[in-house]
Amino acid sequence: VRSQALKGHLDLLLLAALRSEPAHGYLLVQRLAVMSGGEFDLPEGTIYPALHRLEAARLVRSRSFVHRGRTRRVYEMTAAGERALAGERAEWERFAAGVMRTLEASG
Amino acid sequence: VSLDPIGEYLQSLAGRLRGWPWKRRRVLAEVEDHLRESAEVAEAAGADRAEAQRSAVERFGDTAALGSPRQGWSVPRVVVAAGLAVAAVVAAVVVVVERSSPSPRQHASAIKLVMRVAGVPVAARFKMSQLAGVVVVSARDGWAIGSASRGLRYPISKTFIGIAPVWPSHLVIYHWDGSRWHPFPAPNVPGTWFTQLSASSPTNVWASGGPGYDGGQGHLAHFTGQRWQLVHVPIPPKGGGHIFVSGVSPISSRLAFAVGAADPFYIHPAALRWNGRRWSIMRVPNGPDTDGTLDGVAALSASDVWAVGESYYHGPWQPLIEHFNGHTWSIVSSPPISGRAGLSSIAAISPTNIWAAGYWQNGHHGVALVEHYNGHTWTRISVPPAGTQTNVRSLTAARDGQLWLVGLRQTRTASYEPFAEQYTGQSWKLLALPTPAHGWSTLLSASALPTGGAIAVGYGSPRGWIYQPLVEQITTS
Repeated sequence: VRSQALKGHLDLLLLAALRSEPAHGYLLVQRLAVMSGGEFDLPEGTIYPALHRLEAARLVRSRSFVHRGRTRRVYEMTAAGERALAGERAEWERFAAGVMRTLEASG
Repeated sequence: VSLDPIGEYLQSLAGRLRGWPWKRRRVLAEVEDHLRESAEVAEAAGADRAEAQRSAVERFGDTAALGSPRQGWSVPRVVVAAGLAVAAVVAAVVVVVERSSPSPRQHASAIKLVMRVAGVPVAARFKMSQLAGVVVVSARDGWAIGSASRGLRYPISKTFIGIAPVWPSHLVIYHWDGSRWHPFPAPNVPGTWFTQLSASSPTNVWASGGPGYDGGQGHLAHFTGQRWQLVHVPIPPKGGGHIFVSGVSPISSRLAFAVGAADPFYIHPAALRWNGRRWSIMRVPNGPDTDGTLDGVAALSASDVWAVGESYYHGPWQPLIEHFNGHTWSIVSSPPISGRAGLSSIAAISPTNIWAAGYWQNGHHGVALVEHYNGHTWTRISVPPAGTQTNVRSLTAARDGQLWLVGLRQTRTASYEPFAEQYTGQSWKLLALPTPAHGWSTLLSASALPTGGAIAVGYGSPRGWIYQPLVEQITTS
């Protein structure tokens, strides 16, 4: 999937990738790749502005700690993030179903 | 000197990021962790180190793709703001600054002069050095702790020299004899971070901190009159990880209390008790849906101990206050704060006169949060705003009931500078501190002097990546 197309949905995808358990940025990139079946390939640095935006919106929160001499920041979903994910997911499913119905109707 | 591709990338990114310095530092630390992990994975798979680093940088993407101003990581213009090489040994210089015409908001008489002591000797090999904690035991006895890293110098161009910190950092300890600071032998615990100092007597001084590079158990450092020794911190029995100890409050050589946060993610409040021989973990209230940390502790007696921090319960972080009555810890109610807030420091003058300080992020304004306990209830006390954003790092009380609060602030004219406020016994006053000539600096900890005033420590950066210890003595008359 092209980066531009992916960007608009990155927030939703990051929330989905964080849902099961907290993760730091690098792990999230790996998780996104696995969860999407290798479909998503974007510059790895792209996720950080998105994570910071999600944090500012209180959909995720983060804590940092020292890991092997480096400061590692781990993100996890908040209750508001859970609600946002559920809402976005329902909207996406409606949208995707609409696209599929249209394509199917075209034969 | 060989070029480290990741260091080079970070250096170029550092010069182009905009915004608050600690936000920039946060971004840089996050990017560095990502790139180094990514390179380590490639290296473990067989790639050559430099190649692994280059490919990690490539996968990360061009800095220009890191975001528009709207997305937070703004790149205003392409400039190389590389750190210039500066000698790390600072000569002992005492600058006395007299504020003859303080601005209207700043108190005129409470502080007559502020003395800046810029003379902490630093080993030449340490280019990056900071002081995190200070405690004054008597008029002629005090300690400061911090960390130091070697700096790796490498050329960026013919005129710019880049400097990157080399991990792990090392614990550094200084002793104060009432007039001068002297380096003191420190235990070798590479990577472990020590952040606070506390003392009950000249032969009972504690340094608290947490696990770092060694990945082993957490350590505290204890001075009992001859030398600093490492003391183990136990791991919680039920599925817990290490504890980062934020503060210790010693009552005697045989009784002390400590608080902090436990892994995973250091968002679980923890408390410990010292019996003269070892630390043991105490039970603290912590519901399954509640995350939190305890950051400050003040023990008045074996049955009257206060701890402050912050907690999260399906909403923004809120101040957390807990009390130990000799048998159990319990959560004590405090005024709800709109927005995000937390307490990080506590100072007890008597059982009915206790102060706590922290941060309060209310919309775009970050102010100092100060709360007072009168023996019955906690109430919020307003303090003069120090800037558009403030970050309180330390609160300390003198025996006469005066209090000092230090941290860093952003104002309309300064992007990053230390601030201090003083409680005179009646009200809080914003103090005038000497403005650094260049670069930026911050104060991380303060300790009241028995003769009046306080000593505050932190670090300053004349330029770029280099940072050096900063000691300020605040004298009132």
